[in-house]
Amino acid sequence: MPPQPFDQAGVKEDMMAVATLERDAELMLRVREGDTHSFGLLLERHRVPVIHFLCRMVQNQPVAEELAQEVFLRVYRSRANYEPTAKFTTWLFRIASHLALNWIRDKRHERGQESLDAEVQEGMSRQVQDRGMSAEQSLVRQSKFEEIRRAIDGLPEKQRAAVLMHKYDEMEYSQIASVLECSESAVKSLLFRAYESLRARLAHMA
Amino acid sequence: MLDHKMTCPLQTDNTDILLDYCSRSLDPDRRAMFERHMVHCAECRDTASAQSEIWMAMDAFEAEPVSADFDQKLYARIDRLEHVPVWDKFWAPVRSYLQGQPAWKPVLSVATASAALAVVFFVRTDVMAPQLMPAIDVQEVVEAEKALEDLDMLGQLESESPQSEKETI
Repeated sequence: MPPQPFDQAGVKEDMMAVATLERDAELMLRVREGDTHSFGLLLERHRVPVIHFLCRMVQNQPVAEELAQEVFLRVYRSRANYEPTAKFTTWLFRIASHLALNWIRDKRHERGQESLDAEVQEGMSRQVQDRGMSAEQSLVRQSKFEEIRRAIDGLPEKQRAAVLMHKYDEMEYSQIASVLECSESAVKSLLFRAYESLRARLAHMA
Repeated sequence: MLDHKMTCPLQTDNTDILLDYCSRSLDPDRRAMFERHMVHCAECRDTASAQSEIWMAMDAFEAEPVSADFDQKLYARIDRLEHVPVWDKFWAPVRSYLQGQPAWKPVLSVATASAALAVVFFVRTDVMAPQLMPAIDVQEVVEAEKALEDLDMLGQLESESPQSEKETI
Protein backbone atom coordinates (compact mmCIF):
# COMPACT_ATOMS: atom_id res chain seq x y z
CA MET A 1 0.00 0.00 0.00
CA PRO A 2 1.49 3.37 -0.97
CA PRO A 3 2.29 5.72 1.90
CA GLN A 4 -0.46 8.25 2.50
CA PRO A 5 0.51 11.94 2.20
CA PHE A 6 0.69 13.59 5.58
CA ASP A 7 -2.40 15.76 5.91
CA GLN A 8 -1.12 18.31 8.39
CA ALA A 9 -4.24 20.47 8.32
CA GLY A 10 -6.47 17.43 8.84
CA VAL A 11 -4.42 16.20 11.79
CA LYS A 12 -4.50 19.66 13.34
CA GLU A 13 -8.29 19.75 12.93
CA ASP A 14 -8.65 16.29 14.50
CA MET A 15 -6.43 17.27 17.42
CA MET A 16 -8.47 20.40 17.97
CA ALA A 17 -11.68 18.37 17.86
CA VAL A 18 -10.30 15.92 20.43
CA ALA A 19 -9.13 18.82 22.60
CA THR A 20 -12.62 20.36 22.39
CA LEU A 21 -14.27 17.10 23.40
CA GLU A 22 -11.92 16.63 26.31
CA ARG A 23 -12.39 20.23 27.31
CA ASP A 24 -16.19 19.85 27.39
CA ALA A 25 -16.00 16.75 29.55
CA GLU A 26 -13.39 18.36 31.77
CA LEU A 27 -15.52 21.47 32.22
CA MET A 28 -18.58 19.38 33.03
CA LEU A 29 -16.60 17.40 35.60
CA ARG A 30 -15.60 20.68 37.20
CA VAL A 31 -19.25 21.76 37.22
CA ARG A 32 -19.98 18.48 39.01
CA GLU A 33 -17.45 19.51 41.65
CA GLY A 34 -19.34 22.78 42.13
CA ASP A 35 -17.37 25.11 39.83
CA THR A 36 -20.05 27.41 38.39
CA HIS A 37 -17.49 29.31 36.31
CA SER A 38 -16.98 26.17 34.21
CA PHE A 39 -20.73 26.03 33.62
CA GLY A 40 -20.46 29.57 32.27
CA LEU A 41 -17.72 28.45 29.87
CA LEU A 42 -19.85 25.54 28.64
CA LEU A 43 -22.77 27.89 28.17
CA GLU A 44 -20.59 30.31 26.24
CA ARG A 45 -19.37 27.53 23.98
CA HIS A 46 -22.69 25.81 23.23
CA ARG A 47 -25.36 28.47 23.70
CA VAL A 48 -25.54 29.60 20.08
CA PRO A 49 -25.52 26.17 18.35
CA VAL A 50 -28.22 24.87 20.71
CA ILE A 51 -30.46 27.91 20.28
CA HIS A 52 -30.02 27.96 16.52
CA PHE A 53 -30.80 24.25 16.28
CA LEU A 54 -33.93 24.71 18.39
CA CYS A 55 -34.92 27.82 16.46
CA ARG A 56 -34.78 25.95 13.16
CA MET A 57 -36.59 22.98 14.71
CA VAL A 58 -39.54 24.81 16.28
CA GLN A 59 -39.32 27.82 13.95
CA ASN A 60 -40.15 30.26 16.70
CA GLN A 61 -37.37 32.27 18.33
CA PRO A 62 -38.95 32.93 21.78
CA VAL A 63 -39.95 29.26 22.10
CA ALA A 64 -36.47 28.18 20.98
CA GLU A 65 -34.84 30.31 23.67
CA GLU A 66 -37.26 29.03 26.30
CA LEU A 67 -36.43 25.42 25.32
CA ALA A 68 -32.70 26.22 25.29
CA GLN A 69 -33.03 27.54 28.84
CA GLU A 70 -34.58 24.21 29.79
CA VAL A 71 -31.72 22.33 28.07
CA PHE A 72 -29.04 24.14 30.07
CA LEU A 73 -31.09 23.97 33.23
CA ARG A 74 -31.30 20.17 32.83
CA VAL A 75 -27.57 19.99 32.25
CA TYR A 76 -26.99 21.95 35.43
CA ARG A 77 -29.50 19.87 37.40
CA SER A 78 -27.85 16.63 36.23
CA ARG A 79 -24.32 17.75 37.08
CA ALA A 80 -24.07 15.56 40.19
CA ASN A 81 -24.63 12.38 38.14
CA TYR A 82 -22.57 13.37 35.11
CA GLU A 83 -20.15 10.74 33.79
CA PRO A 84 -18.16 11.44 30.62
CA THR A 85 -19.35 8.27 28.88
CA ALA A 86 -20.56 10.04 25.71
CA LYS A 87 -19.70 13.24 23.92
CA PHE A 88 -20.99 16.25 25.81
CA THR A 89 -22.52 17.69 22.62
CA THR A 90 -24.33 14.41 21.93
CA TRP A 91 -25.91 14.59 25.37
CA LEU A 92 -26.71 18.27 24.93
CA PHE A 93 -28.33 17.81 21.53
CA ARG A 94 -30.20 14.75 22.73
CA ILE A 95 -31.84 16.83 25.43
CA ALA A 96 -32.47 19.63 22.93
CA SER A 97 -34.00 17.36 20.28
CA HIS A 98 -36.19 15.58 22.85
CA LEU A 99 -37.54 18.91 24.05
CA ALA A 100 -38.07 20.18 20.51
CA LEU A 101 -39.80 16.99 19.34
CA ASN A 102 -42.06 17.00 22.41
CA TRP A 103 -42.91 20.66 21.87
CA ILE A 104 -43.78 20.04 18.21
CA ARG A 105 -45.95 17.03 19.12
CA ASP A 106 -47.73 18.87 21.93
CA LYS A 107 -48.31 21.85 19.68
CA ARG A 108 -49.71 19.63 16.97
CA HIS A 109 -52.14 18.11 19.46
CA GLU A 110 -53.17 21.49 20.80
CA ARG A 111 -53.78 23.27 17.55
CA GLY A 112 -54.47 22.62 13.92
CA GLN A 113 -51.55 22.83 11.57
CA GLU A 114 -52.94 25.94 9.89
CA SER A 115 -52.91 28.07 13.00
CA LEU A 116 -49.46 26.72 13.87
CA ASP A 117 -48.20 27.86 10.49
CA ALA A 118 -49.62 31.31 11.09
CA GLU A 119 -47.86 31.51 14.45
CA VAL A 120 -44.61 30.22 13.02
CA GLN A 121 -44.69 32.80 10.28
CA GLU A 122 -45.31 35.45 12.88
CA GLY A 123 -42.52 34.12 15.09
CA MET A 124 -40.01 34.03 12.26
CA SER A 125 -41.04 37.19 10.43
CA ARG A 126 -38.32 39.17 12.14
CA GLN A 127 -35.78 36.73 10.83
CA VAL A 128 -34.73 38.44 7.66
CA GLN A 129 -34.24 42.11 8.26
CA ASP A 130 -32.44 44.67 6.18
CA ARG A 131 -28.72 44.27 6.67
CA GLY A 132 -27.52 47.00 4.37
CA MET A 133 -29.44 45.51 1.43
CA SER A 134 -31.61 47.18 -1.14
CA ALA A 135 -35.36 46.65 -0.83
CA GLU A 136 -35.30 44.28 -3.79
CA GLN A 137 -32.42 42.21 -2.43
CA SER A 138 -34.16 42.08 0.92
CA LEU A 139 -37.38 40.85 -0.69
CA VAL A 140 -35.57 38.16 -2.69
CA ARG A 141 -33.74 37.02 0.43
CA GLN A 142 -36.96 37.05 2.45
CA SER A 143 -38.72 34.98 -0.18
CA LYS A 144 -35.86 32.46 -0.38
CA PHE A 145 -35.74 32.21 3.38
CA GLU A 146 -39.48 31.64 3.51
CA GLU A 147 -39.30 28.88 0.88
CA ILE A 148 -36.53 27.05 2.74
CA ARG A 149 -38.28 27.53 6.08
CA ARG A 150 -41.52 26.05 4.77
CA ALA A 151 -39.73 23.16 3.06
CA ILE A 152 -37.86 22.26 6.25
CA ASP A 153 -41.02 22.70 8.30
CA GLY A 154 -42.75 20.22 6.00
CA LEU A 155 -40.27 17.45 6.80
CA PRO A 156 -41.20 14.77 9.36
CA GLU A 157 -39.73 15.79 12.75
CA LYS A 158 -36.97 13.20 12.88
CA GLN A 159 -35.84 13.96 9.32
CA ARG A 160 -35.89 17.64 10.17
CA ALA A 161 -33.72 17.12 13.25
CA ALA A 162 -31.28 14.96 11.28
CA VAL A 163 -30.99 17.48 8.44
CA LEU A 164 -30.46 20.41 10.82
CA MET A 165 -27.72 18.61 12.74
CA HIS A 166 -26.07 17.46 9.50
CA LYS A 167 -26.27 20.75 7.63
CA TYR A 168 -25.90 23.42 10.29
CA ASP A 169 -24.02 21.66 13.09
CA GLU A 170 -21.83 19.52 10.80
CA MET A 171 -22.37 16.47 12.96
CA GLU A 172 -21.15 13.03 11.90
CA TYR A 173 -23.65 10.27 11.17
CA SER A 174 -22.64 8.38 14.30
CA GLN A 175 -23.29 11.42 16.49
CA ILE A 176 -26.67 12.16 14.86
CA ALA A 177 -27.50 8.48 15.40
CA SER A 178 -26.65 8.78 19.10
CA VAL A 179 -28.71 11.94 19.47
CA LEU A 180 -31.74 10.46 17.73
CA GLU A 181 -31.21 7.04 19.30
CA CYS A 182 -31.19 5.11 16.05
CA SER A 183 -28.64 3.30 13.91
CA GLU A 184 -26.12 5.02 11.68
CA SER A 185 -27.65 3.44 8.59
CA ALA A 186 -31.07 4.70 9.65
CA VAL A 187 -29.60 8.22 9.88
CA LYS A 188 -28.12 7.97 6.38
CA SER A 189 -31.46 6.81 5.08
CA LEU A 190 -33.31 9.58 6.96
CA LEU A 191 -30.96 12.19 5.56
CA PHE A 192 -31.13 10.97 1.99
CA ARG A 193 -34.92 10.90 2.08
CA ALA A 194 -34.99 14.34 3.68
CA TYR A 195 -32.73 15.90 1.05
CA GLU A 196 -34.77 14.23 -1.68
CA SER A 197 -37.96 15.70 -0.18
CA LEU A 198 -36.34 19.12 -0.01
CA ARG A 199 -35.19 18.71 -3.59
CA ALA A 200 -38.78 17.98 -4.67
CA ARG A 201 -40.19 20.87 -2.67
CA LEU A 202 -37.58 23.36 -3.77
CA ALA A 203 -37.21 22.17 -7.37
CA HIS A 204 -38.42 25.54 -8.67
CA MET A 205 -35.57 27.30 -6.89
CA ALA A 206 -32.84 25.29 -8.59
CA MET B 1 -8.99 2.22 -13.04
CA LEU B 2 -11.42 2.47 -10.17
CA ASP B 3 -14.14 4.45 -11.98
CA HIS B 4 -15.65 1.48 -13.82
CA LYS B 5 -15.43 -0.74 -10.72
CA MET B 6 -17.43 1.60 -8.49
CA THR B 7 -20.94 0.32 -8.00
CA CYS B 8 -23.66 2.93 -8.25
CA PRO B 9 -24.37 4.37 -4.76
CA LEU B 10 -28.04 4.75 -5.64
CA GLN B 11 -28.31 1.12 -6.68
CA THR B 12 -26.48 -0.22 -3.64
CA ASP B 13 -28.02 2.08 -1.05
CA ASN B 14 -24.66 3.71 -0.29
CA THR B 15 -26.30 7.10 -0.27
CA ASP B 16 -23.78 8.47 2.22
CA ILE B 17 -21.38 8.92 -0.72
CA LEU B 18 -23.89 11.29 -2.30
CA LEU B 19 -24.57 13.02 1.01
CA ASP B 20 -20.87 13.49 1.68
CA TYR B 21 -20.24 14.64 -1.87
CA CYS B 22 -22.95 17.30 -1.64
CA SER B 23 -21.84 18.44 1.80
CA ARG B 24 -18.23 18.50 0.56
CA SER B 25 -17.05 16.18 3.26
CA LEU B 26 -16.08 13.27 1.00
CA ASP B 27 -12.39 12.44 1.22
CA PRO B 28 -10.36 13.33 -1.91
CA ASP B 29 -9.91 9.72 -3.12
CA ARG B 30 -13.57 8.78 -2.90
CA ARG B 31 -14.56 12.14 -4.31
CA ALA B 32 -12.40 11.56 -7.41
CA MET B 33 -13.81 8.04 -7.74
CA PHE B 34 -17.40 9.27 -7.48
CA GLU B 35 -16.78 12.06 -9.99
CA ARG B 36 -15.47 9.46 -12.45
CA HIS B 37 -18.56 7.33 -11.77
CA MET B 38 -20.86 10.30 -12.46
CA VAL B 39 -19.42 10.66 -15.96
CA HIS B 40 -21.17 7.37 -16.81
CA CYS B 41 -24.16 7.56 -14.41
CA ALA B 42 -26.74 10.18 -15.27
CA GLU B 43 -28.91 9.34 -12.25
CA CYS B 44 -26.11 10.02 -9.77
CA ARG B 45 -25.09 13.13 -11.70
CA ASP B 46 -28.60 14.60 -11.56
CA THR B 47 -29.13 13.68 -7.91
CA ALA B 48 -25.77 15.08 -6.83
CA SER B 49 -26.28 18.27 -8.79
CA ALA B 50 -29.77 18.88 -7.38
CA GLN B 51 -28.79 18.02 -3.80
CA SER B 52 -25.72 20.24 -3.98
CA GLU B 53 -27.95 23.14 -5.00
CA ILE B 54 -30.33 22.40 -2.11
CA TRP B 55 -27.34 22.22 0.25
CA MET B 56 -26.22 25.68 -0.82
CA ALA B 57 -29.73 27.14 -0.85
CA MET B 58 -30.16 26.07 2.76
CA ASP B 59 -27.55 28.65 3.75
CA ALA B 60 -30.34 31.21 3.39
CA PHE B 61 -32.07 29.75 6.44
CA GLU B 62 -30.20 31.89 8.93
CA ALA B 63 -31.02 31.78 12.59
CA GLU B 64 -31.77 34.92 14.54
CA PRO B 65 -29.22 36.33 17.00
CA VAL B 66 -29.61 35.17 20.59
CA SER B 67 -31.33 37.54 23.03
CA ALA B 68 -28.92 39.62 25.08
CA ASP B 69 -30.57 38.60 28.35
CA PHE B 70 -30.49 34.84 27.69
CA ASP B 71 -27.76 34.12 30.26
CA GLN B 72 -29.30 36.46 32.81
CA LYS B 73 -32.65 34.65 32.58
CA LEU B 74 -30.93 31.26 32.80
CA TYR B 75 -28.91 32.19 35.89
CA ALA B 76 -32.07 33.57 37.50
CA ARG B 77 -33.76 30.21 36.91
CA ILE B 78 -30.74 28.37 38.30
CA ASP B 79 -30.82 30.63 41.33
CA ARG B 80 -34.50 29.83 41.88
CA LEU B 81 -33.68 26.14 41.46
CA GLU B 82 -30.99 26.36 44.13
CA HIS B 83 -33.40 27.96 46.59
CA VAL B 84 -36.40 25.76 45.95
CA PRO B 85 -38.18 24.42 49.08
CA VAL B 86 -37.26 20.85 50.07
CA TRP B 87 -40.75 19.43 49.52
CA ASP B 88 -40.85 20.93 46.04
CA LYS B 89 -37.59 19.17 45.16
CA PHE B 90 -39.40 15.86 45.63
CA TRP B 91 -42.58 16.94 43.88
CA ALA B 92 -40.94 18.71 40.91
CA PRO B 93 -39.60 15.56 39.16
CA VAL B 94 -43.00 13.88 39.46
CA ARG B 95 -44.71 16.99 38.13
CA SER B 96 -42.31 17.39 35.22
CA TYR B 97 -42.65 13.67 34.39
CA LEU B 98 -46.42 13.91 34.36
CA GLN B 99 -46.27 17.09 32.29
CA GLY B 100 -44.19 15.26 29.73
CA GLN B 101 -46.71 12.44 29.48
CA PRO B 102 -49.68 13.52 27.37
CA ALA B 103 -51.53 10.28 28.24
CA TRP B 104 -51.56 11.30 31.89
CA LYS B 105 -53.15 14.68 31.30
CA PRO B 106 -56.77 13.46 30.92
CA VAL B 107 -56.27 11.05 33.84
CA LEU B 108 -55.04 13.89 36.01
CA SER B 109 -57.99 16.06 35.01
CA VAL B 110 -60.44 13.27 35.80
CA ALA B 111 -58.73 12.56 39.12
CA THR B 112 -58.79 16.24 40.06
CA ALA B 113 -62.44 16.54 39.10
CA SER B 114 -63.30 13.37 41.07
CA ALA B 115 -61.44 14.65 44.12
CA ALA B 116 -63.26 17.97 43.90
CA LEU B 117 -66.62 16.19 43.58
CA ALA B 118 -65.79 13.97 46.56
CA VAL B 119 -64.88 16.98 48.68
CA VAL B 120 -68.09 18.78 47.65
CA PHE B 121 -70.15 15.65 48.38
CA PHE B 122 -68.72 15.20 51.88
CA VAL B 123 -68.96 18.87 52.73
CA ARG B 124 -72.55 18.99 51.51
CA THR B 125 -73.42 15.82 53.42
CA ASP B 126 -72.06 17.36 56.61
CA VAL B 127 -73.89 20.61 55.99
CA MET B 128 -77.11 18.86 55.01
CA ALA B 129 -77.01 16.33 57.80
CA PRO B 130 -78.72 18.46 60.50
CA GLN B 131 -81.43 19.48 58.01
CA LEU B 132 -82.11 15.98 56.76
CA MET B 133 -82.27 14.49 60.24
CA PRO B 134 -84.91 16.27 62.35
CA ALA B 135 -84.07 16.89 65.98
CA ILE B 136 -85.27 13.96 68.08
CA ASP B 137 -85.79 14.46 71.79
CA VAL B 138 -85.85 11.82 74.53
CA GLN B 139 -89.61 11.93 74.87
CA GLU B 140 -90.09 10.95 71.25
CA VAL B 141 -87.70 8.04 71.67
CA VAL B 142 -89.62 6.82 74.70
CA GLU B 143 -92.88 7.13 72.81
CA ALA B 144 -91.45 5.24 69.87
CA GLU B 145 -90.30 2.45 72.16
CA LYS B 146 -93.74 2.28 73.71
CA ALA B 147 -95.31 2.13 70.28
CA LEU B 148 -93.06 -0.79 69.38
CA GLU B 149 -93.98 -2.57 72.63
CA ASP B 150 -97.62 -1.96 71.83
CA LEU B 151 -97.20 -3.47 68.41
CA ASP B 152 -95.46 -6.50 69.92
CA MET B 153 -98.24 -6.91 72.36
CA LEU B 154 -100.79 -6.58 69.61
CA GLY B 155 -98.98 -9.25 67.69
CA GLN B 156 -99.05 -11.55 70.69
CA LEU B 157 -102.72 -10.87 71.19
CA GLU B 158 -103.55 -11.70 67.61
CA SER B 159 -101.64 -14.97 67.80
CA GLU B 160 -103.33 -15.91 71.06
CA SER B 161 -106.92 -14.93 70.17
CA PRO B 162 -107.91 -18.01 67.97
CA GLN B 163 -106.90 -20.33 70.76
CA SER B 164 -108.94 -18.38 73.27
CA GLU B 165 -111.89 -18.42 70.85
CA LYS B 166 -111.57 -22.22 70.46
CA GLU B 167 -111.42 -22.57 74.20
CA THR B 168 -114.63 -20.56 74.59
CA ILE B 169 -116.37 -22.62 71.86
